[in-house]
Amino acid sequence: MPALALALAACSDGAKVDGVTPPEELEYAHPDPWVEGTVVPPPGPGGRILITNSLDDTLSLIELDTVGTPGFKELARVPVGLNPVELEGPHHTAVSPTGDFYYVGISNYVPGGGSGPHGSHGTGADDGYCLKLDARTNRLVGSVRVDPNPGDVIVSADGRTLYQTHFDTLKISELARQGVTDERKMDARLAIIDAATMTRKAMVPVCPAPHAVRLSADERTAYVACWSDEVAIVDLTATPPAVQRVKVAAGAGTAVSPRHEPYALTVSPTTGEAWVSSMASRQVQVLDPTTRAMDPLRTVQGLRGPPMFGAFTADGRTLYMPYQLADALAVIDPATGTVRSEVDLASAGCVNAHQVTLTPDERYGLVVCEGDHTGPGTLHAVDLMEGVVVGTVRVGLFPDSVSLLGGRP
Amino acid sequence: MRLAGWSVVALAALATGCGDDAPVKAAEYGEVLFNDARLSTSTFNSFSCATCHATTPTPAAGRLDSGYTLYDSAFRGSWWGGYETRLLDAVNFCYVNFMRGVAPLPEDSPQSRALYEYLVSISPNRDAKPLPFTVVKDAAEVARGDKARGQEVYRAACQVCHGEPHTGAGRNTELASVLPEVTREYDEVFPGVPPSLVVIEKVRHGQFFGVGGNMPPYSLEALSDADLGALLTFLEL
Repeated sequence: MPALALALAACSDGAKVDGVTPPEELEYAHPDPWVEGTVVPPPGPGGRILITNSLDDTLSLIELDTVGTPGFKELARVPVGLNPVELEGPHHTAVSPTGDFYYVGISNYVPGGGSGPHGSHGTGADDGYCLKLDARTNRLVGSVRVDPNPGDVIVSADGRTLYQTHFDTLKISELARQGVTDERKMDARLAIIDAATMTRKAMVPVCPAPHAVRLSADERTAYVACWSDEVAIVDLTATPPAVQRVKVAAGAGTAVSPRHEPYALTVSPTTGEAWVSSMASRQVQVLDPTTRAMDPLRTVQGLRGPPMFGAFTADGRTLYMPYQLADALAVIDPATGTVRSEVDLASAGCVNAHQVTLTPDERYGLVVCEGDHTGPGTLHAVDLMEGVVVGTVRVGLFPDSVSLLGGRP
Repeated sequence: MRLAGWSVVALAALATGCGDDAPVKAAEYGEVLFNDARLSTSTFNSFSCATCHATTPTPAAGRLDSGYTLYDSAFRGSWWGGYETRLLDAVNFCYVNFMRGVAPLPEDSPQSRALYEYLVSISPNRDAKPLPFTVVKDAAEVARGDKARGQEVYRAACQVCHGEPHTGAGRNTELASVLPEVTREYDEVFPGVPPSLVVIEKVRHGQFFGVGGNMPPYSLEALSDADLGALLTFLEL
């Protein structure tokens, strides 16, 4: 240091280097700086599968056109988050309709609990973020701070608006501990986000611990599964958006003592009905969008475990519903609410089935299974005609969402 | 190597002469920046890159850095245990979090480019492999070790920032606490938590996981539990 200081000081009048100030003329040896790094090929026309691994802060990438082929395997596992040191628990993913971007909700750490927010889902105390990533490079291009415990995230059909829920069970337990009984004080908010600027357009209190959110076909209404044994119906045309809450069944419980625990939700593409997956009662309950009342006659019952995130066929005639404990994929007739058949996932290595999404041609169901939260989770390709698992890929720790990026219909 | 490097720069500066119009090699300017805390414009920053990183294939004896040597760093492919996959992002994580940089270094500023060229200049191996960075997520007690070894660990890992034990003499910033005296406040600040566990958490998490401050974390690769146990013995914790 002294030698250089002397040398540079000697040149202090009209010198080329003065401390950290750039010299007048610098000679570069490398015309393209900072190119070093790990590059994953951008998604091709065949599309790509995105899986969030919530306990190791990564996304697993799988080429969509390998489903059903021997090439069905993990292409890459890329980190996601704002901080390489802390666990940030990437949760769900939404993909822009053009396939240019995808969005990931992350929580932040639980103070004192290094295992991260998703180690105990819904109990994060710090604000989360919604991240925007370039689908070609998987690089972060924007973010917006939201509330603690980001849950589900979806994007509007025009790609301009994101809807992010917050599965804030900590808020419920904290207020209950304080003796608060007013459930409106336990409400967590639905973040409505401008996807272009990644700014919050509105934060709408919806219900205690809202998780899954889906839009009606005309996108004038959002349906939200609420841990408080309710479905929140959000009128997005009102300013501010108006919220109506409907209990999922007669004799339902409360936010503090739910009997059903609604968690996931799937909207029929033909009838607009919201099919609500309730974990505790192991039922899938049907909300009529016209009457805004539940239709108990078609409640799906008899599942051998908690139902999770299902998927409808485009014709609305079949609802595929993964459920846990037995770890199977139920094939449901929405007209009657009966289970037509089941596909065994457990024998293929699935532990804790979490979500199914259908390939664009609806030939395969892609089921993501959380695993035991200490070892890898799995993605299973199910041949829906044959009712069998035809491919399995091991992914990261605690995967809990599967999304499709592009792909031919 | 660090001194040798400085000599090279100094000689280069002298050799070119003050009135010489020859441009300065960016890598040489990058080395200056690497060693100068003023790379960050924050008035609260006292860290340079060199505070936490050696530049030789193996760090000199007497250094236990929280960060890896940056020799052969440019082509590792990923950094921070695989959680940064772009070299500039890896650098900027340090720059923003530890050096209090107000905004990340842009890819094309003279400082940024010069720093890049310096890192490339000390990275002869284009096939360098990524290095592990194991974060101890759940802070837990460790077995105590040898006091003499603990003193060595203190000198090698703590003293640059925290100065001499008990007095803080020579510390690089008044913001760094005096060890182990700061632990006397812990009964009040962290009631019911053994002071040793607070120190362990600080060492393992640095400023992260809600701990706060400005310290970088020590991964398991940077500091073994055995050395941490020895350090605690030395600090009488």
